[in-house]
Amino acid sequence: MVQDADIVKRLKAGDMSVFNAIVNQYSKQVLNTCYRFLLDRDDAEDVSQEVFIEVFQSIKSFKGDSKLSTWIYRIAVSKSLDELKKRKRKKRISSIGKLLHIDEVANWIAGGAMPDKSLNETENMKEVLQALNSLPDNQRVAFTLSKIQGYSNPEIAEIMTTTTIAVESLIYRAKKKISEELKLILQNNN
Amino acid sequence: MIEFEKNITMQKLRDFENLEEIQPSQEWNDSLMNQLNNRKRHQFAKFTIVILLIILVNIGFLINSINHRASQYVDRGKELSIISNEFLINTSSSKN
Repeated sequence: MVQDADIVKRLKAGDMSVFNAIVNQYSKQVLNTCYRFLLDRDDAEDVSQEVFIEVFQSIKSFKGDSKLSTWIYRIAVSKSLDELKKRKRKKRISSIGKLLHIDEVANWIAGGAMPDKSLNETENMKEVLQALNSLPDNQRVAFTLSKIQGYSNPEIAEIMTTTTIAVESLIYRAKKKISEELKLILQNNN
Repeated sequence: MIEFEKNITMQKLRDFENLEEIQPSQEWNDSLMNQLNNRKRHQFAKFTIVILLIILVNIGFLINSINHRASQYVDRGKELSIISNEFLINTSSSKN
């Protein structure tokens, strides 16, 4: 924590060498966190860059209540969830466009992106992604983080500002719901 | 059939669990630094514009207050001549 305080102090003073060290230390974990949520490498790269820009811009508001790493991962989770919400919005607009036969306009409003762009890259994850979409945010976060190497349950609890027991319960419920959803999705597909 | 579905479900979950880790590339790092520099430049430009606006507003305020004082001086002269007319004082003559 003492080391953290020193790093934060230098970051607040705008020391770029410290910022570069932070990027080197956490970029892999942040990138993989975003990747697990988004299941698309390009989107994960964009969002993880946004995470570090946010770290750089918001470091002055960091009070040191948690570890620096926890704060960074919390930003990564929140940015990934925001991106998922954006995707859902785009998908909704695209669906309305298709219904009204105004695909081009709908695509333009949605920012030109295809709603299921990620599925091209990880086609075999299509069903898992669908099942994950059915989970409430807290279950999705707990379950997804638990599948990434380097996050222990107490650490997930810190990121989610909850208790380890609550995290275990969220993971258990998420697993159960995903299995049920996956079964339904696979049944419908066949 | 149920066992088959269960196996597929388990397999899908295992695929998700064993998803390959990705590494940040040098391009990713360069792009991040570029974005940061652009934002810094943008922030500096915004700061300069704000400072310029403050200076302009102050100059405007200063000019306005100078003009106001000058017009006040003329108005006082007018007011004095009106008052003197009301009291029938001839302002052009010093006698009487």
